[in-house]
Amino acid sequence: MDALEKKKNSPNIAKLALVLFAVTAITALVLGLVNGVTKDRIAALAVEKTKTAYANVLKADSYAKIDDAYTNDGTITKLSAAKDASGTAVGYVAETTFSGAQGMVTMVVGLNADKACTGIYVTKSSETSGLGAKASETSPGAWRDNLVGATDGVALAKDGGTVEAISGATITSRACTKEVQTVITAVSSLG
Amino acid sequence: MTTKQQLREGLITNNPVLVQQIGMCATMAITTSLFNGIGMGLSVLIILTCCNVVISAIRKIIPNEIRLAIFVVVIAGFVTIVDLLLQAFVPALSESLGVFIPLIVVNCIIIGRAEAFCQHEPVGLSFKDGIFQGLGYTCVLIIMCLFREFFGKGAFGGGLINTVNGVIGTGNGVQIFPAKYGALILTLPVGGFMCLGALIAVMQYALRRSAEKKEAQEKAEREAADAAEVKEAAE
Amino acid sequence: MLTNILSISLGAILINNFIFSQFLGCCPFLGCSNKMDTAVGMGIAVVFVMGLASAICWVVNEYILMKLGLGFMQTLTYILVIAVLVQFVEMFLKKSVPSLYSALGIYLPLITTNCAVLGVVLLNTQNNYNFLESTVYGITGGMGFMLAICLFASVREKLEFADYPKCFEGFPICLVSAGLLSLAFMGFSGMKIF
Repeated sequence: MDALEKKKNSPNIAKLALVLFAVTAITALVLGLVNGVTKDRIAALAVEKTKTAYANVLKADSYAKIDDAYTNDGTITKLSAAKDASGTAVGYVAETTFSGAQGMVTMVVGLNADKACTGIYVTKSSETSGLGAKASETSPGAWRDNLVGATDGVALAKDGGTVEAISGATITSRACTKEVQTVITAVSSLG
Repeated sequence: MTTKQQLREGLITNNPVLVQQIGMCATMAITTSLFNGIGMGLSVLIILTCCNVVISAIRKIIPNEIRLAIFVVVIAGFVTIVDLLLQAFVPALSESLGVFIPLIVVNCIIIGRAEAFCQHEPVGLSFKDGIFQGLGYTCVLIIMCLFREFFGKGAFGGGLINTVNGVIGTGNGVQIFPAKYGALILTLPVGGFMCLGALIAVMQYALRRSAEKKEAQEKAEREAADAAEVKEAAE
Repeated sequence: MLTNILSISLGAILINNFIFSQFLGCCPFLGCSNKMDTAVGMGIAVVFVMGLASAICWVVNEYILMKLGLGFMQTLTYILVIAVLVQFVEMFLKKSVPSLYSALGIYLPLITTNCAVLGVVLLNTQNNYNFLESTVYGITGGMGFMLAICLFASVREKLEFADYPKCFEGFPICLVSAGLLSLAFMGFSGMKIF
């Protein structure tokens, strides 16, 4: 009786595996199709997003990635030199990722040729809405304008510097200000 | 089961979040702006309906032992399709929902409906079931968004009204009263837990009241019928 | 390197707790926490599955999906890997720790649909963690889940003697209590000692 049951069950396992494989294969094929249709558009959107962020902090005609070594505490993911149409350097743009109050913050920092900050642009953050999220605001008069013109040694007023923190969002303000300082240090180390 | 019955079930008596009490993770996490709420609700509605239709269509040829694995594969397929389409055409929604779009795969509502309903019912009923349960889910999301945004920030329609440069998904909506008078705590995770708890309590109260009323009415009818019988027997 | 690992761990357990900050894993959190024993068992199983899933999915992603340019297949692949993994964990528990297996009952296969497991794997990919960071995040995320579910189980055991309005019976009062716990955990936000 047992042997008979076993015989009935073993071709079943092959059939089960076949059905599962077939369903997975059909799903994968359909996914491949949809991916083919959408992937170019997704890639183009990502490129445009970076371009918008860069142009927002420092307008230039081209941005060339810097491969030389520079002081990096681990938060700078990409440092680029901004050049105008004739090839002269107008400044630097850095992509950074650091931890804020509620998670990681991704921010673009721009420096001019004198290593003074030209602006910041938060591309991704999950900070508290109404408090830390104020650092992401880009309207004229937003908090980030406090960091324009900041030079080496920039810090919050609470930490001995001149930048006023967002009220109720000291952690986010401190993290952003520290990051600007990190980028200034990195560019200075390039020599 | 008529369409009207199914609609009533999906929205009220068998509401996925408030009555069946499944699919709560996303409900609490993303209801911080109306844009998120409507976007997530519509995504789940579309995925739920498509999955219901496909699973109902192949229900006769799925072997019983691996049915859960097949459900998961079909659901994952549709979720990835919707995810890719959102990334390409509504990137603002994809960014604000973040990891919760792929997490629709393990949303108990979809697997639950597939297991409880679509396995046994024909395609037409499953299609309507998907739409109505999705509608019920979307309504709960919208109610939570409206409540949390209004009392938390004093705003309405975040991401949909007053957008920056007409780009959907940006902007904070119409500011009805200054944000500093709002209870900011409602926009934090704490607020999510408490709002959902309060909503489910309200629903339980409403359902219990209507059940008690119905019982009282039936009792009154029975007593009237008994009284009429006694009267007839006496005559 | 070590400070990175430590800061990920601290983040996963306290600052960005999977349940109280990120809402991942609420269904078993609310469903399994009536008694402390079930909660502890569930917590241990989840730690195990999350750690293993993080490690295996990282390897699959790095050496198969990325090499072949199949990034879009991530969701499908990850959920299949998790389903198979939970199946194996179930078989292993049935043979070696049958008491835990019967205590967990139906909740063990439900770990497949646990948002926290799929969530941690997707977050690893999103944050571009390497192998060690992914595995640590998985294990410590599971530990955060276990901390949350055990704390909540002790709260629920007391809730049985509480006097709350009848319409709050069941999930609503649990959700409100969980909200208060979430408020308590908010005190950890912004903490940075590593």
